[in-house]
Amino acid sequence: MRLDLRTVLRELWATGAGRAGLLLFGLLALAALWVVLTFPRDFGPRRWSNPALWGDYPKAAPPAWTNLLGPRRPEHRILETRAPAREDGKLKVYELAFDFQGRQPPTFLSFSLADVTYRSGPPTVEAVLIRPDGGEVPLFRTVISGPFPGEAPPYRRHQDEPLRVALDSDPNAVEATYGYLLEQEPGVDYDAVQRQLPLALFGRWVDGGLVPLEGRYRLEARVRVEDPGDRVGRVRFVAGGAVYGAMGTDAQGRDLAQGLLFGLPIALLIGLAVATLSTLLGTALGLVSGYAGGRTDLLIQRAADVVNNVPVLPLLIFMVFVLGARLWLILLVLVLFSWPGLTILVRSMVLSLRTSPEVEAARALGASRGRIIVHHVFPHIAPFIFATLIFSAPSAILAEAGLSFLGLGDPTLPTWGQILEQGFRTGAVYLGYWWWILPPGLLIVLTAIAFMLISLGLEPIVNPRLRRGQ
Amino acid sequence: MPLLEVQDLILHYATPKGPVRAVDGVSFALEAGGEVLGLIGESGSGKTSLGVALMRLLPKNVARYQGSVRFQGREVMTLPEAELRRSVRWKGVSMVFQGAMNAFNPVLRVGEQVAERMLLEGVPKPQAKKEVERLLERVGLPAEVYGRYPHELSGGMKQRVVIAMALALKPPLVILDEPTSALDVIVQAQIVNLLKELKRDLGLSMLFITHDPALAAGLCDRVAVVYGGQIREQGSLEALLTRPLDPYTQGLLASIPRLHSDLLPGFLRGAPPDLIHPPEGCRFQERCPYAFDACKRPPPLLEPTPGQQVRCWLYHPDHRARLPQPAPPAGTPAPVRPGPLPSAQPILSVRDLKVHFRARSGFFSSTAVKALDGVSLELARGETLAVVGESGSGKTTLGRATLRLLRPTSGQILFDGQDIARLPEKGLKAFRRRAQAIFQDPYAALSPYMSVRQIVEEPLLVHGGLGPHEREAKVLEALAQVRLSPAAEFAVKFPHQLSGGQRQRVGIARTLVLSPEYVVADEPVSMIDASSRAEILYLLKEIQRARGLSFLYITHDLASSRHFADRIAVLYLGRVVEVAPAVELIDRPHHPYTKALLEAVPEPDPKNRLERRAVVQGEPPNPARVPPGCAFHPRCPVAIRGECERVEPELLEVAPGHWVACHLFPAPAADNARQAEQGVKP
Amino acid sequence: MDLSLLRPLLFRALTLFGVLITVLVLLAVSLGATGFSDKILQATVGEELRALRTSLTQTIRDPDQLEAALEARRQELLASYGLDQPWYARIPGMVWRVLTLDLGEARNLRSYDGSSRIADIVLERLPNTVLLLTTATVITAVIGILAGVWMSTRVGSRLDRFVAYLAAVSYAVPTWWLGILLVLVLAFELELLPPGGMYSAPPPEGAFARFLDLLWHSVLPVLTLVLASVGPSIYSIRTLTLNIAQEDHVAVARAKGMPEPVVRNRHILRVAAPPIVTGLILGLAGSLGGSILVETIFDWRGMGRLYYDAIAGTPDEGLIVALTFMFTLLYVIARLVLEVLYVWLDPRVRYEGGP
Repeated sequence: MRLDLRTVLRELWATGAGRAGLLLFGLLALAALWVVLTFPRDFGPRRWSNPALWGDYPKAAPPAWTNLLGPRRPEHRILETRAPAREDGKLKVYELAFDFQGRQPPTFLSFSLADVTYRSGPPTVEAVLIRPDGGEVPLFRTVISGPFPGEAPPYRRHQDEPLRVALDSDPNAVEATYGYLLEQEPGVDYDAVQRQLPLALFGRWVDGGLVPLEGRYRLEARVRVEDPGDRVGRVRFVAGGAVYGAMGTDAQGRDLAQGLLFGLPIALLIGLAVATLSTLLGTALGLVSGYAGGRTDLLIQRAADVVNNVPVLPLLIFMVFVLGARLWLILLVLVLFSWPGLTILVRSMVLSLRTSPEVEAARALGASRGRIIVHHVFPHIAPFIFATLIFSAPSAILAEAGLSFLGLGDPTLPTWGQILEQGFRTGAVYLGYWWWILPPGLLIVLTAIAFMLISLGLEPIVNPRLRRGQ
Repeated sequence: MPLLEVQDLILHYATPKGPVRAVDGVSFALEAGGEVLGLIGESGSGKTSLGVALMRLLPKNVARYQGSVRFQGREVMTLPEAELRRSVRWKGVSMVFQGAMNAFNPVLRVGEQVAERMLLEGVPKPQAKKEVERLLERVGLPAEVYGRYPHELSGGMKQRVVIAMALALKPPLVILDEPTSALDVIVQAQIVNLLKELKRDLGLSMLFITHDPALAAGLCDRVAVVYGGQIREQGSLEALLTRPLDPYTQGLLASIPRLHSDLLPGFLRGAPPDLIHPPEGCRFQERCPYAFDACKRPPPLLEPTPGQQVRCWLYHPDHRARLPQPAPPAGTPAPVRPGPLPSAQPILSVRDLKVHFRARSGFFSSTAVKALDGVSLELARGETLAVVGESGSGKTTLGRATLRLLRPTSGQILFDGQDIARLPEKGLKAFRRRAQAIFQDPYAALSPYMSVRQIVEEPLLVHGGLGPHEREAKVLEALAQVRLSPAAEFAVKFPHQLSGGQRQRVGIARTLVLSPEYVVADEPVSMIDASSRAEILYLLKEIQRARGLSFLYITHDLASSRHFADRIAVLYLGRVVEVAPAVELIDRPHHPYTKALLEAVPEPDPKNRLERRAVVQGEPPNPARVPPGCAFHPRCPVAIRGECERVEPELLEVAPGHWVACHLFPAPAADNARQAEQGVKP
Repeated sequence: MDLSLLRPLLFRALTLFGVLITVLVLLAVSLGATGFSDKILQATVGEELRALRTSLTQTIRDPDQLEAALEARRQELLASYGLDQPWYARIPGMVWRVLTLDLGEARNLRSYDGSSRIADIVLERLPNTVLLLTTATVITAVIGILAGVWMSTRVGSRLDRFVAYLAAVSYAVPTWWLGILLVLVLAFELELLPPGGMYSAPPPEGAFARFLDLLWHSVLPVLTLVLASVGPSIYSIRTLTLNIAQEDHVAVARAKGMPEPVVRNRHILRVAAPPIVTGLILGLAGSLGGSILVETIFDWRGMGRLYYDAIAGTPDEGLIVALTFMFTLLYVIARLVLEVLYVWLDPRVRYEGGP
């Protein structure tokens, strides 16, 4: 019986559970790798926990694919351009076009400009909606703020914070839309327009009420500049939907898909790091305890007794609370609470192996202690260590998720537990926001199951009685 | 009508590797009123399955039964489960299982477990208790054992309770499956005596399942030899032991070392057949020295002499001519034994060696377990010294101490003149190269994660100094020397691919590869089938002759010591009680304990059957509580009151080379010795 | 009970008491070494001084005199809280105070009758936690034993494999998430059960009606705890039973002709009882942790929910220390109860000491 990594993997692959576990784990690992390569390091503080970034997103919107299952709700559209569609001397026109179909208008409309640069006079911006019936509705007009005293050109504006206009509640837009509709159809009710501006913009006044007008709409941002080099870096128009993306959004409008994806490498890191470290610690202490004997052994055994005999979660809560919620501290605390099981196991195995005929034989032929440990003790306990390693990963993931759920997660790193905690705290359960509650839990379960399946598949390697198939 | 009549019994049961044909067409009969039938077979012969099949203990979804078992004229195989339970199990046939250690429910008092079935029969509880207490006394235990838990009893006591349990409903038949395995030889003899009494006093019929023909000889009226799930030969004990017909029976009997004869034991090559894929035809053909083409077909059961059946083609009228004339001898005559060894400078000299362990005995207290308490011995170059004793005698500790696998408490171990007792571990490397060990359990002594090559190479790596090619050559040479050939083929195998005997040879090869001068062989054959033991011992002997090795042969088996050792030392509770040249010690033992041991050794002699042997009482005490004075005095039948329990006897030379530690033998004083002779033998 | 039982029990009790003390010292050390205890005590001193200043300004007009009086009082307070000593010198005092349940005052949370003493608040919640935990553990154990024994007769069947996988999956499902799921489905979608709380608002009149209401509200939390642990429980009991069923003494019992129910109860289950208790002991820490989260989800007014409330918002350090201690105490007591059960069940440990 040879026991190297290749054999282990082959035996693992031979069992159904092991194969499923390896596949699932491979899939998760690939996805995590992709996230690590494409997401910014400071995703937490800069994106996830930055409310300014999520203003243009619908709040608590279910995933877009729910439209396939139930009534069609408007999808969320973010239209964006970075270069003018046409230029005419000092006039630069940025154009955004989209098709509007269906019965429900967008839930909100917003228009924003970012990254404006000018050299002499500030540009003026005019936003005009061109409707499928050819009509033009001038939504609003504004002038970029002028130079401050003492400021030198080029003047940069709205670098970090875009100039944002909520069109659905902007009085100018109401006036302009009301004016336009009145030209088309007499008897338009001003209050109705004000109340349902998005519908008014994307509709007509028919028989005393607003009805949607389907077709192709264009939004033009007409920017008048003083200097031909002046430019607007980004123009964005958001037609707010009631559904969003693959995973929906939370109450702050955050794209859950991004948060969930970012949680994946963290979960794997927690699982693998805690499992590896606690296994190393547990094995080392077990070997020392079993081999050294005497006072050292007694000390390690007493420590293991204590740690093994305490309710872990309350103490975890306490330690994280006292030490502070930093991921590495949480990992450290998890490691500190998870070594004794393996230490006790390794020690007892070492004790029985120490007096085993095999070790006795090795000693009799003069093998050094190091050689005995490497060749005659370690191979016997290695399968157990490996199995413990895999088996302790899900419990670490679950423990971190539990801590996060109690509000003790690392605030700089969004994890699945934290997403669930925010959902629970803001009442997502009671409001029926299932897309906020189910996926993070499912992902925790899936990741944990990947490890569980692998450890189930390892069972025949660890337990020779099963290997013979009994 | 026989009490039990078995006809063409077949038992197949499922295992992950395929169905095992554990019992394959067995027929025999057993008479009521005290007939004892012995079923003799080695491991894997299916003898235990046979016992299980008779009581239909394997559920029908696991096992497939065929054939007929008639008990008191009633067919057991087709009896409804409830009826079987009510009227056959325990009431008709009870059973003493192998391994009394595990026969008890650990959380119930043993008395309750004996009484359990009586209560089911409607016996009121107080009466059942009384009866159980009487039974316990009948098997030689105090009545208060009733209230004990299993873990509070010694092995011998448990075995007696198991027998009492089998007698609870006074059944006409008891199946005994290796009732004495794992017991020391004296306790074993006590149990056999008890069984003889029960047979005589209660008229109890027994089916006695054992691997040891010598043990069967002490008790059985008729014997059947089981091999590969079949009965190869059956007949009266007398006939089978004196005129075995079947080649296997002959080989098995020849492999038993005789205590009082210079006939050397023989052995069978190879291993018993795999019962999942048994060979076509005769099951023994691969190991049989007489195999010929007819053996490819299953041999019929023949009866060449009345009352003695044999399953072998040699006795078929068509093949009679092949029968060797006269029947093959039952053993090999002894070669001329070398005389007493010249007392050159000994390779090993142990002086007043003490090894005490501390064992926790309570919360805060610990007691010293005196595993060895003042042992002095010498081993000459090229000599084999056997160290015999019961469990707890310290014989294994002695072997480990002389290899410095443990640090002695006090005393000297002079190896080639150098005291190694106090050397630090680092200073031992040169010694380790010259002293090696062979271990009892060939399964446990080899790493399952290393190939044979790696195992045998390890000593060379540890002691270094050789290149890979030289190492390779040495490994192959050592493997060839232990007759694992082709060596290159065995080198790449792993231990689990080898048989027990082959593993033990790998262990020997590992020992030899360093060319040691001193080897401790700790029960090197006790875990190997009896019929293969002599082969390993001959191999050791041959290597010893070729290389001038010295052996410390640690064993519980006095008979094999006679043939393989030059001298024998008898240990009792960590002390040497007698040392003498092997034949001298066995033929003229002095110490009462040596006599007791020799008296207890079973011999395959039909004459032993009826007489109840004189066996000393009791079991060896715990080494943590060694009696004062002579440690043996509480069990000694000839103890001198007022002396033996106070004064510890010295080891004195009573005859040239014959040393005894007994107050009956103050150095050369023949009178006392004569008295002692008279005292022991009534 | 014979005396032989007492020795191992005494030994276990001593060990567990040692664990308790060690945990307390650990708490005190982590609070002290991280400066947390200084912070808590300083805050208390500051609070008292503020109150004193308000009352003193009425009587003492001279600002210098006032400051001097306050400073004197401050030194007095610092000494009385041990703040003039290094943190490690305060450990024995703190351990003693916690052991005697002198746990101090809570910051914001109050007991139902308005007391701000932490001991009052925690002791008021304790029975609710014990009730939830015991009910769930007993139900799990009963189902585990019944189903486990039954499963052991069906090894290798489809159901057997299903339970094996269920047990594996249970390890991977966070108990609290399972609870949320049940709330989502059973309470909100199907509206079968109340989503949380212990009583309806307003609670029904009459003791029996109130009890039924409590029972009704406990269904979901108990179900959650049971579902989370019953799979592994069944599976481990099945495996245990199976192993014992293969032991020799069971074959002996069958050979004796003992009827199958006797074999099962006396010779298999009775022997399996001590290891089953060991399993319960090992599962205890997990269910205790699970109950903290489950109480949080179902707004079950126990110590777990209190924990959550103490962490949320402005954390209440005193309460957190007290709860950590109380949970450890609860665990140690529950363990001791099970150890007594174990020693009573297994005659072998009476001479060896501890499972």
